[in-house]
Amino acid sequence: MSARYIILLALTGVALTALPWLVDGLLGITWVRILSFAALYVLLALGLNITVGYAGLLDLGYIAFFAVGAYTYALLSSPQFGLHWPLWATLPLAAAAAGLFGLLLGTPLLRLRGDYLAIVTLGFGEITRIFINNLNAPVNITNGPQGVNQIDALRIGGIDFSQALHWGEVTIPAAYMPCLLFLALAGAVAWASTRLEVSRVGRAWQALREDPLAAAACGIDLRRYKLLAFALGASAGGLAGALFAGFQGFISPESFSLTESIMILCMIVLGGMGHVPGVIAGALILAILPEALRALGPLQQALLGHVWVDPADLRMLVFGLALVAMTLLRPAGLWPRGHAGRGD
Amino acid sequence: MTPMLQIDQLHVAYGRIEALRGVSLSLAAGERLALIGANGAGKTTLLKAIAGLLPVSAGEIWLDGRRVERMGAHMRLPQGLALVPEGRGIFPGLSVRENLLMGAYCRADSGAIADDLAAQYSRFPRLAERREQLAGTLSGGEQQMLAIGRALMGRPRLLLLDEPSMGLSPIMVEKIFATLREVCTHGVTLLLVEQNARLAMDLCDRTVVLEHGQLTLEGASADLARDPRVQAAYLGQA
Repeated sequence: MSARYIILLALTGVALTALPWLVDGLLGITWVRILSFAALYVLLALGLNITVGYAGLLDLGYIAFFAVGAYTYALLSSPQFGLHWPLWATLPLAAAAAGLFGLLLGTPLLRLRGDYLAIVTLGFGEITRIFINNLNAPVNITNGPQGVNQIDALRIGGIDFSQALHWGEVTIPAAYMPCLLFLALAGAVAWASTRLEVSRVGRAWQALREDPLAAAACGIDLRRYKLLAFALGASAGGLAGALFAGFQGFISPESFSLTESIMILCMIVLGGMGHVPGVIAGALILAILPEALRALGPLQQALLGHVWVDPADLRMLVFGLALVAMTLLRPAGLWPRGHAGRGD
Repeated sequence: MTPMLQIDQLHVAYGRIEALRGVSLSLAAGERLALIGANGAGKTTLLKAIAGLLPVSAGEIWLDGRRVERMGAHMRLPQGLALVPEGRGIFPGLSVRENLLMGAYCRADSGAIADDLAAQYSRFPRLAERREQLAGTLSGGEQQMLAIGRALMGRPRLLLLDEPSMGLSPIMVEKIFATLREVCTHGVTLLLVEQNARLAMDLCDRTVVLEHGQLTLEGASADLARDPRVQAAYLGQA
């Protein structure tokens, strides 16, 4: 690790820390909440990028891992079972549970490729959601469609991420707290992803994605690296899920629909599969776009005197147009990975 | 002396269809063996089974005195085996250099790997010129060179080649075979599958003929080349 690299990391850290203040100053406090959600989407997109972008295993049911993480956290820190486990236990457990689910899913999928893999993962995503939806009888575990309520806030040591933090003269507003936590974790996962990409494991995934048979002929254990890609991708999703549950205080099966899986996939396709900066950009754009489009309502009112097109309808239109335009103009994504001179 | 490769009554099936029906053969260290046969005779299947890319339904494979037929491909490679797959099987989205380095995936001796990389570049100057180019943009002949270079990066003692002449111009085929001849002078044992029987029998000391999953003829290449059955079926002579 060169000095330049460490300086770059430190600067990124400072910039991420300053981000909530900047966003609040420029756009207002609601945007800090939007940024928090966007950071969660970045986490999800980075996780899916491991499975799809690095290893080339098309997973259309990724949101299931998010759900597993969210429910793991929710059941361990809510009145549902009267459990209130600390964050340092629940967060890793949620990631581990999702990772284990990734392994469970990955094992029967080892022999499938391409479209077949995509279809089975899609099915798995739906099965998970419907399972959670119905797991309120005969024994009530998930509370079914009503979801889990009054989930504990994210709290570690003396720090409560739902409350303002007073630290001597400095006060960090309550809205900034989860945002800072999510940014920190998203940053950490992004960093780990870039390290993974150039590691031995990353090279194995790359070979697997390019040509599985040739990869096997190079002595790469396909089974092992496929499972690793599923498990690692899933655990990032599980982590995001736990954060989501703690942040919202309430979760229900509705949040884990197929549309969400597709949305996260769109993020990495839009940004540039397998390229961490591109994936982050894609996630931020698609997470923020709907919020930004809200402004079009008042704008129409002011300019045209009437809201002609509901911003909510506009959202899907713009989204679709953006994807079509991207497929035509930048098929590899907005910010794809350069091919030559990798690893320097 | 233990043979480099010994196969005993090997059976491989795709579902219910038996592609190999009791194949036995033995290869001494440093020997060059040509495997010829018509389309669908099971040649590729045999190579894949040896490399561990296909499960074996019955029989034994011994690699330099070790029984390997139940091992995965990733376990067999470090024991000195490399396969150049049919149709080249390179990584099109990786650069030439990255492709070559992937061939040394199982090795940890980075210094020696760098030496071997340089050796491939001097063996194939075309690859040296294009080292940062994406492999998918290479011509067919260059891709075949790359596939061979990548296999050699694993420092194999046994090299399995699946139709290296496929789809190449005669000049390129000549170059590839000259390279193989040179590689063999370093003591590499060669198992060559070829449609172009004449070329293969020229390069190899011994030839076996595979038909419908069974070996039907076996002998010194020079003798087999005079066999009327071989001449009629594989050398295009009446």
